[in-house]
Amino acid sequence: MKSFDEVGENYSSDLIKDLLNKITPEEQEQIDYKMQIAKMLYMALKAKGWRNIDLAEKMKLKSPSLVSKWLSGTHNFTIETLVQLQRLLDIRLLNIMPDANSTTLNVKLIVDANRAPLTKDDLNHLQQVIDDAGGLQPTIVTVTQ
Amino acid sequence: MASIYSLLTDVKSGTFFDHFIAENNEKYPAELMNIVGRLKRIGNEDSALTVYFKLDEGLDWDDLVCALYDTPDKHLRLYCIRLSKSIIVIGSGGSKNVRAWQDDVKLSREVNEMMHYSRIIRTRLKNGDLRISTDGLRFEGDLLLTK
Repeated sequence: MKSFDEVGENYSSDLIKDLLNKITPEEQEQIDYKMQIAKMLYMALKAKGWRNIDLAEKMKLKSPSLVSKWLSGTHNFTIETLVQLQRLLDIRLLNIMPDANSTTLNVKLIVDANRAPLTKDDLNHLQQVIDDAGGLQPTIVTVTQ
Repeated sequence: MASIYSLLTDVKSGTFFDHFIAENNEKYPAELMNIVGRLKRIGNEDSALTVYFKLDEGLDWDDLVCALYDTPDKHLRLYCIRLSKSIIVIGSGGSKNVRAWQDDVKLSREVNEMMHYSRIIRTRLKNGDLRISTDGLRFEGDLLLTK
């Protein structure tokens, strides 16, 4: 049997290795998401200078212990709670809804100096493409030679 | 990122964390998996944020002994010494089915053991036998705590 001095910092454990190998990528992803949400809540609370009890009051919770649970990174949140937390803490926890302020529509605009200026039909066509993509208002940029 | 250490008193029987796995693997496989997954996240991505732990589990105000939760409705507890957001020392623990760990013989032994090693580690850090690397992530010096 090896002595402690022989093992030193090179100790390795088959038990730990086996357990780490048993966690599926899906299970780890679920853990990661829960902990990431907790971290974002923690950072947002710090940024606002709020304590757990402040958030509990704003969320109309009976006890701040639920906030501790949220921050522990083990909680399964409902959509209702996440939406409420987003609004109160000014953070984005769910990124599936289109946001008029941040959505970018990539439009390839080819400028050809030999072509006639954009006609009303061209603009209507461009508006149609933009409408189909989500109904954003186009910004017309005048390109001069 | 954070470094996660455990304690080794007998090479043959493994670290305290090995004991924890061996004792709970059969009865609480899902909870154990959850704790290991959380440690993986703490080590590789996040640091050991205070909110991830149940702090002040030890009896001394400065012993830094805390517990890592598993899923909220379960009761498996892993006792740790959280030295900083970048270094934790994990011990053992068990299933907590009592109001306080003092009411359970096994949990009392585990917490007291962590308090004991916390005292040694903090004393050795103070007298310089043990140091923390400049990036805050590693112990340096003599890792043999008791001779």
